[in-house]
Formats: sequence, structure tokens, C-alpha cells
Amino acid sequence: MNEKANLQEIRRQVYLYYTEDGLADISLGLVILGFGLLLLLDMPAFVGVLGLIPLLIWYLGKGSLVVPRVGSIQPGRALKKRFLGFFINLSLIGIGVLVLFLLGRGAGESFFSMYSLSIFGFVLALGISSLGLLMNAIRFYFYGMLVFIAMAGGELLMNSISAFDPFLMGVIGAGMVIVAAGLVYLTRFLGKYPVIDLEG
Amino acid sequence: MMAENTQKDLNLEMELDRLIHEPARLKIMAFLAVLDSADFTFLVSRLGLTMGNLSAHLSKLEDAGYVEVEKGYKDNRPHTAISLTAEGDEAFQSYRDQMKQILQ
Repeated sequence: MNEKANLQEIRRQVYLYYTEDGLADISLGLVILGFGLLLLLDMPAFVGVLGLIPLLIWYLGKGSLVVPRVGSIQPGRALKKRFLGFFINLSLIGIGVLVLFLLGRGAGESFFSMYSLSIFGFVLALGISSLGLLMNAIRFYFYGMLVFIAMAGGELLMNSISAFDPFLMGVIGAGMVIVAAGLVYLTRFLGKYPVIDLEG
Repeated sequence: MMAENTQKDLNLEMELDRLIHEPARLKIMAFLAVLDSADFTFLVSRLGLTMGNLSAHLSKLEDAGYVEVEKGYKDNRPHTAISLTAEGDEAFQSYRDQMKQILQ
């Protein structure tokens, strides 16, 4: 029905507000890149700090680049419910995998201990893809796939390559690709939407 | 029978809220129906209207009590937040129902 399709188009444009500027891509890419670099520098204790990256980019980027061009919105009740449902589901998946991982560790040479990095990559990919589903942004499915392939491939190649750590190189490479894609989206966004001068 | 249906459709069309039926205002209402509020800049960028045109449409909707317009400043910039009133929400839902009946 046309009317339904049009309301769906309105919703699509609302989701676009959150993804069109590429800031979500850049944040995600920097978190993955930072994760790889911290492990490479043997500083895993600082991984928690990576959580600040999206907040910082969101606060600075939205305020100075996005709002003067496309304004700001407050999501309605249905959208808020969708966001909340997403975070609850994602948290449950995370807790479930953590439990399985901990149970697997106690079982010696189990599947979980043998392929822990691939499983971690799979969960991460699931989370990234869910973000794509939530935001109606197909490219996040590809990011999820890229991260999984980088992590699982790196883990598989670990024993055959000794010159460098293929897992870490895969993670860093995936992060760089996602940041680069985000920068392309941001550049396109800045070109498409000029600053709207409300005082002019 | 067919003539009867056509007459029914025409009657329904006559009852349509003309204020919402106008394409630009319908889009404004549709955006506000899925959001708690949107600012003026958002509507300008999404609807492709000039600021003057959007202001005129918003004034009509505000006069009818369908939208609430709050003017102020945010980060030293003028900021106008627009939201649907309960009356506006009801009018939009009723418009949607009428359109569904006409298109069925």
C-alpha cells in the first residue's frame, strides 16, 4: 500500500539521520583499530578506554558537523522501544556467549578454547550486523562480515605465519577499512548538505 | 453498486482534513508522527522546502493546534523545536484511516 510505503520511507529517512554522516562508521572503525593497536602494543588493560571514542565522536561530530547541516531530532516512542530492544538483545547474546566461553574454558581442549578468537569475532560481527539491522544500514552487515573474516582468518593462520601476528593485522586492517569507508560517507555528507544559516 | 462505492469514496474525500492533505504539510505531519520532536533545520533539510515556505506551513499547522513550536537558543544558535500535539496526532491518525478506506 502506497501510504504504508511512504511512512516506511519517512522512517528510513529518520534512520538515515543516524548513519548518513559516517560518524557511526568512523567510531566503529576506530574502536576496532584501537583494539588491534592496544593488543599489538601489549596494553590490553586500556581496552575499556575505547568506549570513549564513540561518545567523543558523537558529541563533537554531531554538534559541529551534523546539527548545523541537518538539525537534530528526538526519537519517538516506537523508535526508542526499538533501540532499547536492540540493546537488551545484544546484551543477552553477549552474556550468553560469555557464559558458554567460561564453561568451555573449564572443559580443557574444548571447541571454545580452540576457536575463542573466531567465536569472539563472530559475536562482534553479530553485534555490528545488528546495528545495521537497527539502523537500516546494509553496509554494517559487510563490516560485520569483514571483522569476522579478519579475526577467524587471523586465528586460522596464526600457526602458519610467524613473521607477524595475522590476527592483529587482520583486526587493524579491518578497522582501517571501516574508518576509510566512514570518511568517504562523511565527505559525501558534508558535500551534500551545506550549513543552514537560520539567522541569515 | 459501483456508483454507490464511488459516491462513498467521494463523501470520504470530502471529509478529509484539507490542512493535512496538502503534500508538504502531510510530510511534516508524517515526520513528526514518528518523532518526539524535530528541529527546524531537520525539516528544512529533509523536506527540501525553503525556510519561508516551511514557516508558512508550520504557522498553519500551529494555528490549527496540530503542532507545537518552541523557539529558543541552543549552543548560541537559534533553535526551533517542533512537535505534534495530541490533537495533531489524532488528526493524523484519522487522516490515515480515511486514506486507507479510500484506497481500499
